[in-house]
Amino acid sequence: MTSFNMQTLSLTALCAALFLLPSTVSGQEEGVSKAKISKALRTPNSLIRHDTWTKMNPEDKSQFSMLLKIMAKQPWFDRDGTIKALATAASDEVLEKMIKALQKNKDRAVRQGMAVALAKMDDPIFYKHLYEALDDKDPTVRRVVVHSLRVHKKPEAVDALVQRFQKEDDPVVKTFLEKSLNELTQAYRGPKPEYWLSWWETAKNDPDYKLGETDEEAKKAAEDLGHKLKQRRTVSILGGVTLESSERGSGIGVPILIIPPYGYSENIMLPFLSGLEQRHKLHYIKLPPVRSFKKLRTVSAKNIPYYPIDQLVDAFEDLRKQTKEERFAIMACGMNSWIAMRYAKKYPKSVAGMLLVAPLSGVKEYARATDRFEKQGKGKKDTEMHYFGLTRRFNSQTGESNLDSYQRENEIAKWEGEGGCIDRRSWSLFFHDERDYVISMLYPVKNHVMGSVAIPDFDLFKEKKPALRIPTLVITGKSSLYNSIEDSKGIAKYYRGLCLVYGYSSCMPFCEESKRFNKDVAGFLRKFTRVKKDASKKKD
Amino acid sequence: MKDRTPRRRKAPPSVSLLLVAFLFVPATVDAQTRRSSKTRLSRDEQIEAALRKRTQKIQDQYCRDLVRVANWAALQGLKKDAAALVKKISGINPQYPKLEDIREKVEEAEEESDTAKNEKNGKSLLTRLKSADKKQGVELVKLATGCMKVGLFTRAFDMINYVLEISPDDSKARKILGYKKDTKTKTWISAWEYNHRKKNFLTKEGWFEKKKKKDFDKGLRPYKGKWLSAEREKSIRTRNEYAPYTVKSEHFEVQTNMGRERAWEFALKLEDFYTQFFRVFIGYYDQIAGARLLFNRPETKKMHLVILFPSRNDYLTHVKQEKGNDKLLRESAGFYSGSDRKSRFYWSDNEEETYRTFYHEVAHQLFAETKSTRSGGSRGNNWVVEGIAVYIETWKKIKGNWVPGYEIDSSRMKIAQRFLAANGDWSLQGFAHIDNDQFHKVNRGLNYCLAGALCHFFMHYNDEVYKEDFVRFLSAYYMGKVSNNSLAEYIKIEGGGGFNALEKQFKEYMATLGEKKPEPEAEADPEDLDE
Repeated sequence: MTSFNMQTLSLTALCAALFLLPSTVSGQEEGVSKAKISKALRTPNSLIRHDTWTKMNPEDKSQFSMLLKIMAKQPWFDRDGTIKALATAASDEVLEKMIKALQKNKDRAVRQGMAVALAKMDDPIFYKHLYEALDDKDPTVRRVVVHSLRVHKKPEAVDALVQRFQKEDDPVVKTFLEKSLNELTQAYRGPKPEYWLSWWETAKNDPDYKLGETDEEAKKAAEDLGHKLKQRRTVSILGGVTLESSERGSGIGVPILIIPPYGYSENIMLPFLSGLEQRHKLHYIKLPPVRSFKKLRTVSAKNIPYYPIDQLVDAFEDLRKQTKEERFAIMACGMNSWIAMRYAKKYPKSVAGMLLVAPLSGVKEYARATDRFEKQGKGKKDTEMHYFGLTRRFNSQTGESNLDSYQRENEIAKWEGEGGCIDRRSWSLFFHDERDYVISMLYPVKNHVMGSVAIPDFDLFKEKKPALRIPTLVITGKSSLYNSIEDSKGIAKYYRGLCLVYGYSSCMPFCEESKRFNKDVAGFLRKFTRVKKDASKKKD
Repeated sequence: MKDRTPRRRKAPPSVSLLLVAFLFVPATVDAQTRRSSKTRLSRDEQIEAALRKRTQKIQDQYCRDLVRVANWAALQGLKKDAAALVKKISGINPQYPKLEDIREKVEEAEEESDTAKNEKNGKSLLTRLKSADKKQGVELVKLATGCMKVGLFTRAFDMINYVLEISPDDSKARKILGYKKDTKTKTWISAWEYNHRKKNFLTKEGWFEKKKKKDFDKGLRPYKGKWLSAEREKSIRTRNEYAPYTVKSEHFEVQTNMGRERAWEFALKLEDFYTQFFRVFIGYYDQIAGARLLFNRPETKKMHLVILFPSRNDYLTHVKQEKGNDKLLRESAGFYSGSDRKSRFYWSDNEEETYRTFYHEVAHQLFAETKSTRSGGSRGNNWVVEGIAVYIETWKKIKGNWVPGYEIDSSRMKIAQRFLAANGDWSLQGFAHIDNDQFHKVNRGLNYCLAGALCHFFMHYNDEVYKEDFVRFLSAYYMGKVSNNSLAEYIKIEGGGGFNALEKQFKEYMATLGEKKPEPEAEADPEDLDE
């Protein structure tokens, strides 16, 4: 379990801390006044909060302590603001305090934040402290340090990461180690630490070796060995679309098609499924953008197309034929579970099992989730959540989103950066603990642009059951608002499958409770899917 | 919600009154513009005719005054000055009835040889000229106010600026443009600068607090509330992107590791660009908002944040560190992000190229930040977002004046020109249907060039015949009202023909582009009146 233990976000405590701040800003250029901090603490606008924290002065004792409090208690984007403020620290006294916090603060959220702030400074004198932090007892701190070290190409950083790799036992940290090493070196030595060690021992002593130089041969070899994502294009005549996917992993287990949530990229899943890659080949699907399909049914004056599930299902079948696989297991998230469900119905013989992550049974459940966002957002004065809920519906005649019509009718002006605020809020809601720094790490790489679509009409419970029984595992997070536990249980029941509810997760159980997720899925697949007998030839 | 409601800063009473006077009237104009285009055109024509008549009257009056002054100058033996005045009158109205008479008189006049007398008369001549200019200024300001009443803000803006050219001290014109007179230096400065000067002083590195002048003079510079030596400050501010030099001008906050002086230079360039931007794109806003921006009274005074990285490497580090090493951004020379309201780009050895990117990104920023937009609601015609920014790269400042669309020889325009010449089957309608993702992923470079060229066409074709319609189209796109086929609906083409006709005109325009270059507006040569 890598998520945080949920702590109450104590606005009262933060407001109390505010009394300790001086009321005016010293200096003409930087810093932010007590009044602005107070206003920011109360605003539901995450951009205002973030920008206010960014401008705070870590050189000011009371503001430094306030920054630490925000860093410990507030959601990820707020924390990002405090980190940027801390990265401006300059005096020895403050820098010492930051190093000390990195080494000794009891709160891992603070240790994480300090690591990122010191790494952002890119000052040679802090690197040794960051290398030491690679041995932090908490894996969530270690992965943040590993992630932060990927930016500036330094042989010492490679050295420290390779050394840490040799003793690391957390699978997610290991994946981050491999990713950072790949980014720094472009060497693609794969998931085994010893390969990295032997390569690095040679490379670092080679006078001709230039760190990070792209090595096409190494790239190709890594793809062949499954160390690097191998790209595949499947031209599906049946589906009338070209399907792009990338593959990684190998082993005797049944191959798995991975379908991230709609509009999201495989990057939000890749770091967390290494446990499965040891036994299964994973095909990460990039769902084709809506423009790739021809002659789609549309709705509204703006001709918004419906996303074509059936065509996609046919394309998956063509992918299976192209890869010469007998069957796939399908892991699908959220609304994209409908694709897996339809595939299982249409081609039951091609489906070894279904792994549905925070799934929805149909349009009605989608609408209920939208109601939850609207109601809870409004009730809690969480405007960003409320607005997010409103963006999920549109007028079927005019094509205008409910948010636009709501704002028009109530004469509410759009606030600056509103789109970004809503996007961040929708992303935060994927997580049980909104402070988790992994949300920051994945945020810039999360999107897979698909184009706006109308939600296709789908109701699992009205669908004809697959001709064969499909082993099904449903995993959902307890705190997800995107779907409901009842609905997940209903889906599992429909397939006579199993439903697991993760207590520290929302929609990202593979990330939030990664160890458990990998274990549960691997166990399920081992139990319910056949294993190839001649698979040993592929093992390395 | 509190944060959403922009608070209007209270303007000084006189300015407020002035705004009320001309900003409430356009409601009727707005109602009229909703009529059919035929009615609108005839109304526009009526206004145009009335405006021409009134301008003519003012010009004639001015010429009359100048003739009087020239006559006087000839009589006093100031032959050269009198001749220059005749030239000026001829420049204003070559058909002015009394022009020949005065020309003859001046030619016949004899030069005065007494230097002392000439000096005395010279001073008197200046006073007379100033008086004539002032008189014309008063009339033009009246006319400009009338223009505002019928919604001709750009025209009014140009008139007021002209008044300031001929009569820099015209207090009414100055006030309309938001200037205030600094009593100490007796210079006209913006209201923002006027207020800023009270507590700050200006240096090559921007503004600093007066109370810290001693520290500044000692070579100390501020960092996080402390004043450090400039060297120490430099070591911190150039360390990484998080503590850069920051300067604030009236509308922009510029952050860079390249030094405060450099940041200030950039800020000034942006301020210079700012006014021209609104002058050209006033139709992008509703009338009141447009007038506020053009006359420098926006409702909110939120800074536009601009980040300049010292090199491409620094920019790439930023993209890697903060933007997930996004491929599109890596391949770009800069970007504007609406989600955090910042535009970013880097300095390259090619200064011209750097400035092109600079204005390109800031154009995105101004379109997004000076109006509440809903561009996500538009479907199709996504080319327009990059197109208009690429078009702005063709603006050039010549002899102190911006000339929109001047750089027709830029590489992007040339690429578009060559492509269109070689690909006769290129379809405007097909281009309008490309979605945003496709625009950036398939033939991105070419799409930028074509989009920029299209905007150039719509802004300048046939004496700017489509300009207003196109700016309205641009506004509609940002308001989420545009669909795939909207272009042909917004751009009214004489005789109809929609996409096909527009496409034909565009191709013809591009084929002949470069035969005539846009020129800066003619200015009176200051040497004509050698004082």
